[in-house]
Amino acid sequence: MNAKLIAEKALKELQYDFRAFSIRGLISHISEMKGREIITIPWVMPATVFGAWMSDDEEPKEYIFYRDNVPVIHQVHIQLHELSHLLLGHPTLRINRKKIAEVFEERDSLPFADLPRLRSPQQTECETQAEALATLIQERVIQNSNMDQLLHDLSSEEKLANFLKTMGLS
Amino acid sequence: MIFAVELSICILVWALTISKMKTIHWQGVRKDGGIALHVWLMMVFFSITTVFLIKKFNDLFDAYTLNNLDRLIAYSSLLTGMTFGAMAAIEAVGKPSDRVIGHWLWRTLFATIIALVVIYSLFLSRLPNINSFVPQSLPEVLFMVITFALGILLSATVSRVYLNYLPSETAPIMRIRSILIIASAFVVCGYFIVKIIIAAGYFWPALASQGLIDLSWAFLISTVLLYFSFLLSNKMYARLVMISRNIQSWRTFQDLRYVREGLLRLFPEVVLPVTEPSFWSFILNPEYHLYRAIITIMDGKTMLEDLLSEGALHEEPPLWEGDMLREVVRVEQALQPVSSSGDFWEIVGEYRKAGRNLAQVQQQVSVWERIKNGIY
Repeated sequence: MNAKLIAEKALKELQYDFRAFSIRGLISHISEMKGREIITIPWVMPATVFGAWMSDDEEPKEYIFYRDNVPVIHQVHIQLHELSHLLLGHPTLRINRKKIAEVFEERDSLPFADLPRLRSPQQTECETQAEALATLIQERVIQNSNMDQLLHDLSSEEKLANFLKTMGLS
Repeated sequence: MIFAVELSICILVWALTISKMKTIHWQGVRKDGGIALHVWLMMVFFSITTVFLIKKFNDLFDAYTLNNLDRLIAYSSLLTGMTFGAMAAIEAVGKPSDRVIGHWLWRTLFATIIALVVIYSLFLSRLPNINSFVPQSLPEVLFMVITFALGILLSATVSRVYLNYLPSETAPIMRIRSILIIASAFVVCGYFIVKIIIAAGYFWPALASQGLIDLSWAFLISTVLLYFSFLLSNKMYARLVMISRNIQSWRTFQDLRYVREGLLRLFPEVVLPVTEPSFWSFILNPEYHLYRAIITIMDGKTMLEDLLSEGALHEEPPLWEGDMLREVVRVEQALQPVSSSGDFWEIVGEYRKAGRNLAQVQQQVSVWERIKNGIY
């Protein structure tokens, strides 16, 4: 099955209402669905690395690190990409609370170099699938917001807007 | 054939009126200043008119009532419906000065109907049933011209009111609806002008040509289609607007290509290539392709910034040299002023500008290369 078909299947299973999309809302939806707490952390990533997902092997927690120095839309996309890995059940690195604490205390660093990268010569099938799912999610969000905006904006004239509502045309 | 057309129009118009009766929120009918009520009454009177559009029904109706009574009812209900329509337009988007015209429209309507009743009582009711498109007597000419002249006045009022209003409307769907209302009013105006010319065929038979009669039918059918279209729900319009926006997005996608290709030349292995969709597959799903293109560009831009800040140009050997270095400079200069704040469409617009700038620079470069190579 190609990456887009796999992503479409995962999107269907997600059963999320994209009309009310927010990255926080989606994260708590996935969190509930998977029974795991998802913690997103803006991070100063190494050059050419955009984001990373690591799973806690002791507690039901998932850590998503994303680049903090890119535009918001890009940050959201990176988080969606990492969430997509989780949704698609891809393998990832295991860390734990102790390791995180050491990283925050600057006694250790995160193992970004051990992760496969989408934007690298060694693109894996998992990376392509996650990218396809992230794109499909954003596509839904944009489509819904476009339609919502069009349907919400009835008229510049209040009387006409009321007329459309009364006539059942809105 | 004509009977089938007449019957279809009548059934469709009645179906629309009855369906609207169910969908109108009657409890909110006063909130809009009576516009919805005026429009619904317009629909009721138009529906009555369409019944008398059916020739076979008219013959039967006249046989059981009075000669040519169908004409009096049809013309009066048509003008009443149009007056309700014009009043709805004035109430909805008219200026205070238009409201004065509104009062006069009612008075003109009553005067016209009285005139029609008088002409009917004195002349038309005594004539055999009118079966021709071209009037056969002077009272018929008068009867028609009075009706059609008021029809022109009413449709001109609607188009003038909406034409004045259109520039101030910002909602895309309402703009389209307004344009359709203006178009309907113009078509109705055209219909009545043609009908007056045909009526003048009583004096100059050359004017009552079959071509003009066919044209009046064409105007009538166009009016009915436009009438249905401006009463469609916003959801239908939203789909049409989306299709038109999707077509416009294709140009944007093409402009973004220059940036994507520039970045892909710099990072052939690391920038995820966007599959080039055909025009039709793009139209079906423009958000997907535009979003993919923007993320590809953002990835490439971030990588370029990363590598430049790490001193890629000062390494030994440098990461890029010669033509590639010039490409780096061009792409970097095109992307530098881009602001990535704002919503998705604003970002798309910004990168589109960058794409156009890059295309211009590339054209200049290729012209310069040609001059250098002695092609010019």
